[in-house]
Amino acid sequence: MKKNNTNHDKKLAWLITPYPLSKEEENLFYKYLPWLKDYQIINKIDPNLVGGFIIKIGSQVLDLSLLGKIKNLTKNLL
Amino acid sequence: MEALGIDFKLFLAQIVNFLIFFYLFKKFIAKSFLEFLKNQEKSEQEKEAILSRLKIKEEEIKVKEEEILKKAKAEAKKILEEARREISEERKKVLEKAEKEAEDIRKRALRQIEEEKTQVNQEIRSYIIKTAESLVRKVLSEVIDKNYQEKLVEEALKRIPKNLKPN
Repeated sequence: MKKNNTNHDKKLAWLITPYPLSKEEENLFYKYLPWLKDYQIINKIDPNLVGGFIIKIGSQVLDLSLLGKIKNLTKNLL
Repeated sequence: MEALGIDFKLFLAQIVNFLIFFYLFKKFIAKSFLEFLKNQEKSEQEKEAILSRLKIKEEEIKVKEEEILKKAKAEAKKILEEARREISEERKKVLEKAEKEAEDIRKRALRQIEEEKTQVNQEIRSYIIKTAESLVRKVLSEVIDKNYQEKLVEEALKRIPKNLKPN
């Protein structure tokens, strides 16, 4: 998921994970989210992120982390 | 008459004297004297009439005084009662106003207490939730190792609906 010259015209998608993704894990992402191939993926590491990952495309955020769920729960309770 | 000790000449002279006196009295004194007596009598009667009228007037004045006094007393009583009634009404109004103000103050205080209570409850609730969140995050970050993180990423990918796409 490193930037390459062929990806210059593609939109950026930030994939935030708690650790660097292996090649197998990258493939898993493409398997379950095939539309990610249309984006230039940048893997950002956030060690504070707990359980899962976050995908950011422009202003859209797809939060599939435990941390996100906990934050949502906290927000609803408040 | 001499045997009785009466002097006839002297007696006759005295009779003549008396007649002369009577004549003179009647001629010159009796009329004015009687007139004087009549005037005196008339004057006395007028005095009595005046006194009688004065007495009647005095009684009338006394009656009028009593009436005026009675009226004045009644008027004073009426004014006093009116004043008492006004004071009573005023006091009632003041009391009602004070009671209303006290009730308003009490309601405001209760409302303020309720608001503060709600705010404190909200703050406590917020604090508990945030503390719980911090604890959960801390525990999770300590419990979840790299292998488990990997599993969680995989599980999250598996749970994603197939048709999920960005807009």
